[in-house]
Amino acid sequence: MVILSLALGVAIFVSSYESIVAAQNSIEASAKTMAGKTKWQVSRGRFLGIEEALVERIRRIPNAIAAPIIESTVSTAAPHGHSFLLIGLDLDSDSLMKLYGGEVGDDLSSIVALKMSPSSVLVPMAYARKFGLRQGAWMTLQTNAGPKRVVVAGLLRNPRMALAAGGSVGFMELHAAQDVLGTLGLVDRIDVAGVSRADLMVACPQCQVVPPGQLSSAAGDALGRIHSLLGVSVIALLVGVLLIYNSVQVSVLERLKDIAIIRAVGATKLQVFAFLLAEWFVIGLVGSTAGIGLGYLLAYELIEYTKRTVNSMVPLIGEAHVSIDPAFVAAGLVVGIGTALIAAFFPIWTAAHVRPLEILRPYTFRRKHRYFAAACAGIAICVVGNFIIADASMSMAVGLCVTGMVFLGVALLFPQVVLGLSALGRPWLVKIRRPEPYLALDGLIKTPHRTAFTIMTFGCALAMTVATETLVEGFRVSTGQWMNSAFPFDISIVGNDLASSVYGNSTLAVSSLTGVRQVPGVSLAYGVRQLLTPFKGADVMAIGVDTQDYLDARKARQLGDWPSNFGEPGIKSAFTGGSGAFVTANFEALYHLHKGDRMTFVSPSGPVELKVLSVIDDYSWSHGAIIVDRELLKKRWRDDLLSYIDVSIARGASLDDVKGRVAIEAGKDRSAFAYDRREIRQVTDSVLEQAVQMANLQAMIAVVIGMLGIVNAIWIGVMNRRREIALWRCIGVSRRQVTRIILFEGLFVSVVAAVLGALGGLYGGWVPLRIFSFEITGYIYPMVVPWLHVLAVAALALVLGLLAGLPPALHAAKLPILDAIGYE
Amino acid sequence: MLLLRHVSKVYGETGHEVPALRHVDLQVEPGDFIAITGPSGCGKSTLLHLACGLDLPTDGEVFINGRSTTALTDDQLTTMRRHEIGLVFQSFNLIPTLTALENIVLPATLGGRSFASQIDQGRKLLGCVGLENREAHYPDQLSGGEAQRVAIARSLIMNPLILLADEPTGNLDSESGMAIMDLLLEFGNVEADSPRGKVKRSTLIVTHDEGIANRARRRVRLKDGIVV
Ligand SMILES: Nc1ncnc2c1ncn2[C@@H]1O[C@H](COP(=O)(O)OP(=O)(O)OP(=O)(O)O)[C@@H](O)[C@H]1O
Ligand SMILES: [Mg+2]
Repeated sequence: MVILSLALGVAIFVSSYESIVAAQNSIEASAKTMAGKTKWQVSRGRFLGIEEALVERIRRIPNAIAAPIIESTVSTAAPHGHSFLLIGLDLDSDSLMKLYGGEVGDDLSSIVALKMSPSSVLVPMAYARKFGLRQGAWMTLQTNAGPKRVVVAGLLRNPRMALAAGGSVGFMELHAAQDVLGTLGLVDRIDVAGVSRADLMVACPQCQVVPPGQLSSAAGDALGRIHSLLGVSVIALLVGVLLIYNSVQVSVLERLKDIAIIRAVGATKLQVFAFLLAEWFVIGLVGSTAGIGLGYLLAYELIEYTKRTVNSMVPLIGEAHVSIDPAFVAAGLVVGIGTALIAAFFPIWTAAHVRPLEILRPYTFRRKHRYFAAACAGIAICVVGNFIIADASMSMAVGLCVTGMVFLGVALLFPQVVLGLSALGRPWLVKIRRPEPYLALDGLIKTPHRTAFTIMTFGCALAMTVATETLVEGFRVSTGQWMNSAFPFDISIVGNDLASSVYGNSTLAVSSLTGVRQVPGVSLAYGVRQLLTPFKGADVMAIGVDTQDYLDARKARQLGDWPSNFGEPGIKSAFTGGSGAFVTANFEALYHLHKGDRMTFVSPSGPVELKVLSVIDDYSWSHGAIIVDRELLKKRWRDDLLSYIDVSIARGASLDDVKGRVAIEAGKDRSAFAYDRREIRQVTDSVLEQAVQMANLQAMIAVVIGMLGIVNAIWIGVMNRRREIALWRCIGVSRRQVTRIILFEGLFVSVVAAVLGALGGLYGGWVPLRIFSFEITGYIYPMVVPWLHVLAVAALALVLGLLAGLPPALHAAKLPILDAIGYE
Repeated sequence: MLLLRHVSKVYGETGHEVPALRHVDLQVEPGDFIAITGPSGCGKSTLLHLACGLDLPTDGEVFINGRSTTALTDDQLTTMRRHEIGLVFQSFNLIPTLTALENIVLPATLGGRSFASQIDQGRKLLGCVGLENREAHYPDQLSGGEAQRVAIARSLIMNPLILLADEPTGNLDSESGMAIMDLLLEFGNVEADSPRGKVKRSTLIVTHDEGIANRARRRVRLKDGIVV
């Protein structure tokens, strides 16, 4: 059982780490594959586009090879809607061959086909097979320029690039791609080789010149999410430490008599110590070897999950492979063995130092446990940890350390707590007309540390689920409030099917807005544009609203001022005049820009200076968002598209009717999907669920480990008390009563663990996870207590505690009385 | 009261049988005080285990208050031990995690009474065995003789008809052994509750101490599993 729990702990650690590494490697590898021999990638931020004319300028530099690339994530039409990476390549120059070798060029006939037909695309054979596409079939792509039909001109046997992009990829001729995407004269980047960075900077002063292989923000986001799993795995491993400690303690206790006899016949303390430690070294070795094996198996599963998570945002990960890295195997061994040794050290130390006489006495029950000092140390550690945590600016690594610290503090404190609780419980239990609970409590406090750690392992596992849920609930409630206060609409029309891709970037035309306003049953409609724009090395979201229409819609819903200082002199005029913007709370936190500060954005028409007018709560974008008048986006970003159209329905109109009508109206010339508030809520919730799915799985594994810990501890307790149990039976305790006593032990453990889990989980959800979540998602959530979940977890804990007690309880009831009486 | 009829006990599997008792007949009357003696390994403990239903005979029958132990379920045997039989062993008689007082009242709570309600009865018994000031002490704070006295007090809390003791003085010096014997004789002469009204208690002790055995009213000698 010890080996199993150790193996599970190591497995969680190894698997989450491996899958992160594998995903990262895969993303980087795909970026590299995409880049071929490219030395530099020239662009102007990821979303701005770069003039095609620049290609010629670069090509004039001696030795330069320059290939313009268009790379855009679009989505395919329903029913098989999914993200699709559209790559536009310059087929007219030889730069392509030089940079990427025979990537696309192998198949001459398809190249010819691409050149001949204006809207043809090459797709990988595997992709075509998956979706039943043949040569000559039509595909519909949802792009910013509306839905576009392209024809499959040919199938590529096995393009490296396609593998890198998860197979969901299509190649087009550069200009054909521009046409489909509506970005004439613009390319996304220019891949260059043969020239120095300085030369490139001269050729294009406003350009970013970076080496290939940098992560896009979405991929970074996705990876960040998986990073959070590593944090969870560290907690799981800590649970493992406690479990091992527990088991060592128990196994040493079991043999305390042997140890005493060995000591009595002359073995030195050191000999006993070395012997026991060597034994646990072997157990650690076996456990972590098994764990590493298991971890790698689990890693395959995790990688599939990672792939899905990342690819649901951007098709980036193709074949992610678990690579067995000797260094990491070694690290896993060190972690496992180290855990075993650290956990074993203290119990062994005490065992080696115990006086032989003490053990050989007939009644070895230490009534006085010296836990008070440890408890004080524990409290001190917790307080210090808490102070460090209160400083929200710390890094993830520090956060993890502090979590470990608090954990240790609680571990030190808990034996005393157990004693205190039992002292509180006793007077009640002696009044109960049944001896079982009393005897159960007695069995538990016989070894306060073991009980304490059993409670802690289980409690921490429960805390993990509560903490995740706290975070999720915080997110759910705050987004809910946000949706209620910021969105005065009944129906939202978007360009892509939310069911298949939440992160689509399809757009709607402004003309649709006019059309939608005329639909019967629509009382008000306004358009919103969201686009990403580079800012301080990140991609922030610029949200443009039709200010007056939006305000009207708010007024109709009787929502308050937006934002609260909107009425102050100068604010409204600065906003509508395009000299100021509202920023989101996470934007303020991420870039340290506060009300009144000025900031400068890069736009296609040059730098745009904006003043921060107000800070608002908004969860649109994890890297921060600014809200401006849509007119500003039109003028400076040269973007007159809509990301969505929000509609309020007239009094008395049927929601479903209007929804159907506006979807048809907006979908006249491009694809459009209408959702009501409830549906949008469902989508955000399901995205959230997906994100925490893995954390929940890990928490569940930890719960199982914790439950194993209870089984283990109670079982050992039964084994250690065989004579007592036989004695009970002699003086008239029935089998059923024995079973009940042991079940009560499990129940008591789980009750306290449930309380600890609830409190610890709320604390964990409030402090450390909040900080991680800020790092990962950019949001600081309000604290929301997920009462229902806490209750459910508590109920689950009780059931699991009873279940954990069942095997030892049945075993105890069946103990042969006479054998156990004779057992010495 | 207690009747062993043609009782045999064989330990071990076929091929490796160890006969512990052979065709033992023994009748214990109310008020009896019997000492069972004999060399080590002659089957004394076995006899006692059969007499309280902790073990069942391989042949013959054991009747406790008229009921054959072979015909009873485990639960019925347990209830019988709880109410009709007091048991004292050579050592390890007490639950180490319970105080002397709690150890004594434990049997009384098993039928569905609270510890708190039995405290008075327990104190009285502690007083009877001369340990009134040790009620909050744990077994490891008591001497061997004191622990045995607590064990005797516990065996009496249900006021049983039969008191069985397996070498209750085996671990004690002769002085404390005699003190224990005094207690056993004193309590053996008391009336106990039975379904048929007040009946004198019967006591059965196993010992190989001649001095102890001589004080019993009746002696039964065992040798190689046979009453001699
Ligand atoms: N569980 C058992 N399995 C096999 N043989 C047993 C078992 N218990 C007792 N015996 C054997 O039965 C015989 C009688 O044992 P018992 O314990 O009744 O003797 P005893 O008279 O109580 O001895 P002592 O005075 O040493 O306590 C012995 O030979 C013993 O080895
Ligand atoms: Mg014996």
